[in-house]
Amino acid sequence: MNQAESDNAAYHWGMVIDLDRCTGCGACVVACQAENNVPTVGETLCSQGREMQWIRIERYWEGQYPEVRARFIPLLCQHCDNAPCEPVCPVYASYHTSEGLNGQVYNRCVGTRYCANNCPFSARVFNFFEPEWPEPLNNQLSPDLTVRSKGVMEKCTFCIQRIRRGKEDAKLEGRPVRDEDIVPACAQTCAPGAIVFGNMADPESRAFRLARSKRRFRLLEDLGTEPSVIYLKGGGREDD
Amino acid sequence: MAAGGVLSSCTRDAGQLIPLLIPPDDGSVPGLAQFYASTCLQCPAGCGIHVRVFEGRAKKIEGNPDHPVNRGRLCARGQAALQELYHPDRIQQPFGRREREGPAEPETWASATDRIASRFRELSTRAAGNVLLYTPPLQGIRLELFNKLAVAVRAEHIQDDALNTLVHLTAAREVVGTSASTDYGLAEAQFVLSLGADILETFQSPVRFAEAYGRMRRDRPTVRGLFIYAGPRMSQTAACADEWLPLKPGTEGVLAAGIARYLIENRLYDPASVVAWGLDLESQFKVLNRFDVARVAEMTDLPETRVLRVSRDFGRFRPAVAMAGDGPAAHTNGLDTVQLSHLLNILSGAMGQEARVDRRVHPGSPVPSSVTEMQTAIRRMEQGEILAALFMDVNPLLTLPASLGFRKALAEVPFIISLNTLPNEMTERADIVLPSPSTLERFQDVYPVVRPTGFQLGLAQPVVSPLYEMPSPEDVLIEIVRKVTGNPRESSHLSRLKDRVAATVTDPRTGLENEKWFRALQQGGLWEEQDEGTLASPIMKSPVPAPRLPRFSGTEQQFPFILHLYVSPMLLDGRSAALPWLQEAPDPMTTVQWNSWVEVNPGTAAQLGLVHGDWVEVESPVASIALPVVVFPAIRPDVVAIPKGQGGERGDRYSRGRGANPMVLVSTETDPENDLPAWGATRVRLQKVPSRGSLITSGDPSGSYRGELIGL
Repeated sequence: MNQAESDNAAYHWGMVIDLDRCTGCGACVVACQAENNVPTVGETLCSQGREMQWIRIERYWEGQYPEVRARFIPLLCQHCDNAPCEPVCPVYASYHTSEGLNGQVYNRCVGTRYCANNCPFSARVFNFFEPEWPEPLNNQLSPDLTVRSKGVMEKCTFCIQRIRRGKEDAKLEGRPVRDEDIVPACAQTCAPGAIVFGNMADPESRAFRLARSKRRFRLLEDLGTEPSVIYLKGGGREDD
Repeated sequence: MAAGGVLSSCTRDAGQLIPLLIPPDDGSVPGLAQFYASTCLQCPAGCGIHVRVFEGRAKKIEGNPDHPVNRGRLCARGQAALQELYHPDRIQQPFGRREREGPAEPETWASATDRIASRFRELSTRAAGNVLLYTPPLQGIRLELFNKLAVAVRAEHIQDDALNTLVHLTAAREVVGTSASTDYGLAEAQFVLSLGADILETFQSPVRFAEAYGRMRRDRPTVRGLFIYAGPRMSQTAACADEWLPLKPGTEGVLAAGIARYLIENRLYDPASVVAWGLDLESQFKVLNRFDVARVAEMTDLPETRVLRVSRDFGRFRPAVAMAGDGPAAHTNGLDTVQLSHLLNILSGAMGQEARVDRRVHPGSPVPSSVTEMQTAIRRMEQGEILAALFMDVNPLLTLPASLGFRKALAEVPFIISLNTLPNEMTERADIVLPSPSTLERFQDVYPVVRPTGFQLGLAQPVVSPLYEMPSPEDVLIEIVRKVTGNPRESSHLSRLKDRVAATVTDPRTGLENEKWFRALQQGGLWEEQDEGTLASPIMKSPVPAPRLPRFSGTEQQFPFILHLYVSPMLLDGRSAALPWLQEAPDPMTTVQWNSWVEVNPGTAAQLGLVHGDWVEVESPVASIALPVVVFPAIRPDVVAIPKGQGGERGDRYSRGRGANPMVLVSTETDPENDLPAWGATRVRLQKVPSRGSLITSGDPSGSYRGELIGL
């Protein structure tokens, strides 16, 4: 797909995360696991950095006691428009959709992990082992999406199943998708309302309007990956 | 590798599809998700939930957008309630043990309740007080049934206050004359002062507070509310504050007193509120006179400029709200701190104003047992006066300070019954183990700890067919009461619940009783928008007393550090430790997973020769435990902090044998004048010991990246 096609698409999904609202509570992390059949891996694999969560809360320390601050950044796949993960896949398992998503075709993936190596945000996670849900824990698995098996790379999809459902519902009712009809699990649960998801191709959408804030920034902007996730800087006392 | 990946995905059989010729009777439609409204029971906040059910199985829990407590939002613990329903270690049927700690043998419900009832009847005819009932603070039908059982078997009922709500209830009663639950108009506030109140993680109603916090920060075009946090350790809530005031543990009340004095001295109070509350400014000023800025700075160990600034800002911004949390409440002067936070709200006009502290009297506020009642019950157990004890939804072996002697006392009780969903310390010791349906499989009337105006009751309801057939705890109690009293006419749980719903304040829109019941089922409770509730008449009995100095167990020479215990944001007091999502979710501040730890200031760590991941023996005057060290940049050098929640020895596969339980370190200090617990008043020392395992953090111990690199 060329740039012109992408520019003309009806949808370009994006997310705005307001760090002034984010409290670092981790509700999004668990909501995402529940929504997307993301397994837990246990203590040993965690110690090897092999946890599978698609969204994590980065915590940064700044300064020293007593003038110390902690800051939180929820970090998920940034769905970059110039995604470094895409061109390195030898089997085209990672690709760019016409709606601005970094897609991942699980049954194409052969587990080279080139994409994860190339992701500057460490947003991708790999199934080093077959995921386990001791019975009857497997009852919680959502039928809306697959359970990935050993050897497959996975990552945040912006809850593609919810995007699909939202578009299908709109189609059945013969109307366009309304703003904030589609809400990913992380944004839905976020208590302070820090996460806003929406169509960046629609200048009326709440996400688009928030993304024009003076507080906006994108992660590792100088790498030029053009992330679709826009952060709004956290505040501080104006008179500090 | 590649071939392995492909092959492994082909190992499962496809199975056989059987079309549904006869549709299932639970109303489920194949391929279509259904949503059920219910109430989250993971903590006392009582958030409304929608559970997505697909072909009879619960798949996902969402916040209920129409619910006035949480307005569609939900926390990590609420999300994880699914894993309680489908936990692989759930107790599936009643068990009996012939000898203490012996093998558990399956038993029928009839024989188990027969044995309990006959033992209760026999003991109660001998003397009163032979039987002990031990539960969390109860409300509604559960309280009604336990009261009934207590009368029938002449039992003593302990309501274990593991989340330490008694101090707050007492403070409200002392200052405003009623032990009402308190709501804070956070969203409308311009200035919020938290005195150790971890409102964004564990305090009272965290989802409600966090939702309001988001609006306070960014929903108003011209105002961004300021948030100041005072406490010895930077909690996740404190990390969100504009300013963190690392004061000495137990001096939160001193800071509040200083601010109150400053407001009165500089006439920065709200005159209407002062008149309405009948606050005698002159005598109040006299009481607090010695807490001038210089003295407060010295006592709290904060710079004078910062004390002055927070005092001035509290007077300058309107509305300004103060809240005191669990940390300060757990000191020997905890009551003073909470009372003084109310005084600040009266002075700022926040009490009963738009950004208000709601003082409505609710029917059936919980009444947790006092320290004396707890101690007496434990002493009676130890002396062999308690001959049978029933425990429901509690784990005092984990949550009570070990120095209270509960473990030893329990061994003297000849007949123990434990009612729980998952195995824990109590079920492993009980003579009769009764399973309880998970919170997604049963009805319950719920009264949230912070109740919005017009809220009547929350309703939890079964959202799936039970995974294992078992009666609700309420019906078990009714069965026991029936058998003890020989009265078969005790009405069932469901009919009692319908009566409760019918008895709620009638909304003109509601109409028929039956319609009200269906509306409660549809919404997950009943609430009305236009209800002023019963306001407590604005009175102040007398000036709020000056804060006392905190006392600590152990001398500073022998035990140089004050132990700061906090409720884990993920595992609470241990009640969520069985859920793997929460064990694997990194702790917000330390990013530790699957473990517990002790937080030490970097300067202190350097002095003791400790680095991240070293192991130390944490020794208090009463006991010691070994834990790995997290070098924590945001804690006072004279304080070490340990989260509660881990250290279960006998529970399910996910929590068993993980971390250490810090409650064993706690000396049973109290506030004897007010009969309140002070379980945050212990000193400890640290001794480096050889490593006993690794400490796993999801982030780099010193911060994941450098903040400036990503433009923070």
